[in-house]
Amino acid sequence: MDVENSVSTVIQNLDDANRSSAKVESTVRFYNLLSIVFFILAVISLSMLTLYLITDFIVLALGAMDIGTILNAVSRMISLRNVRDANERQRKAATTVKFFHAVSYACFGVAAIVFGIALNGLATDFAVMGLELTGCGTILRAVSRDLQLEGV
Amino acid sequence: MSNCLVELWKLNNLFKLFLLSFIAVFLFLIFVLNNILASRYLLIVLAAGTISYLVISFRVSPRASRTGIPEHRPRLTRTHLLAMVVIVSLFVSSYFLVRSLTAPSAFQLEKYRYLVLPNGTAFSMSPLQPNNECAWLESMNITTQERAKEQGLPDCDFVSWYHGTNPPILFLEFQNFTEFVYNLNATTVRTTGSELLCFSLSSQSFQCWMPPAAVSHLK
Repeated sequence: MDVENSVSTVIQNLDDANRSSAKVESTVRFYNLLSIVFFILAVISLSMLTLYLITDFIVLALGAMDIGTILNAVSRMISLRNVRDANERQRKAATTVKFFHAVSYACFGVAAIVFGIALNGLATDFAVMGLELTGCGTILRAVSRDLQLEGV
Repeated sequence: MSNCLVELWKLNNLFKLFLLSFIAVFLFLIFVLNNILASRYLLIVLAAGTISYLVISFRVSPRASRTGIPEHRPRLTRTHLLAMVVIVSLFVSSYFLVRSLTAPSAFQLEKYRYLVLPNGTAFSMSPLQPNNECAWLESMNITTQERAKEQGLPDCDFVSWYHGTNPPILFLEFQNFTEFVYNLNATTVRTTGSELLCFSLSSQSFQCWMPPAAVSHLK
């Protein structure tokens, strides 16, 4: 009787784990798809920029890129938590952190340039661009820090 | 599965770097090299990069059925449906609310001498001295902006700051984005003129568009 009970408990646990894993993967897939959609919206805005030469389109593109970046970072964080092998998880987390740091440096670099233009010409549009880029860089650093602190 | 996901998140980040470098190159071409023509050719680079990104991302994105793990199909519950309806109705109602509350009323302009408010109050217009021409530089596209700067036109933002809105002022916008600024003085003259689109900037300062210029010309 005891053996039967423990077998059914193990089967139920496996079922739960499978369902949870499926939920995680579906969420990750959805976030990835959504981030692709936002990156494409950014591309449309940048196409408008080359056609009409209105810098407001950079602001719109950066906004869309920010949302795409956040969704991408969160989906990566979720998918890393779902990796069961601790060694593999740590290796992947280290690569992710390095990658996110590189992108955040790029964000801060371009932010410095647009802040320069904003201060030089007192152009508020460029200040908004700078803030968006700084925001993107900061969020990526925060997600990286979270990955490091969790020790995934 | 996880390998494919790794590829996709990396690809998204690489595409983000591509878009950032696109913006940096665009700004470099405009502000440093002053080469507006070359910046237009960047569209080809953007299209090529985007097509490659889409092709690769659809190749690496996995299908749930191929993974062996049973696919979890989220059920559309009543709460989800209600949330979607609330969000959509919020956007739609905001749009109609803003459109109805900010609809411009019929102002009248009489031969650049008098501005008549919808309630019949008339103001006499006198050009701001020494020069009443300015440009909303941030609203212009880059070529028009360059032309306005070459003409030495001040930014209307600065005109607005320096002169404040006391005495009241009128910004009159023409189709080619040039803007003329006038001081307004209350007058007892009763007059009528041609109708034009105007918005109040403050209690007694106005932004108007001379036909055929439309509100869509500006932010």
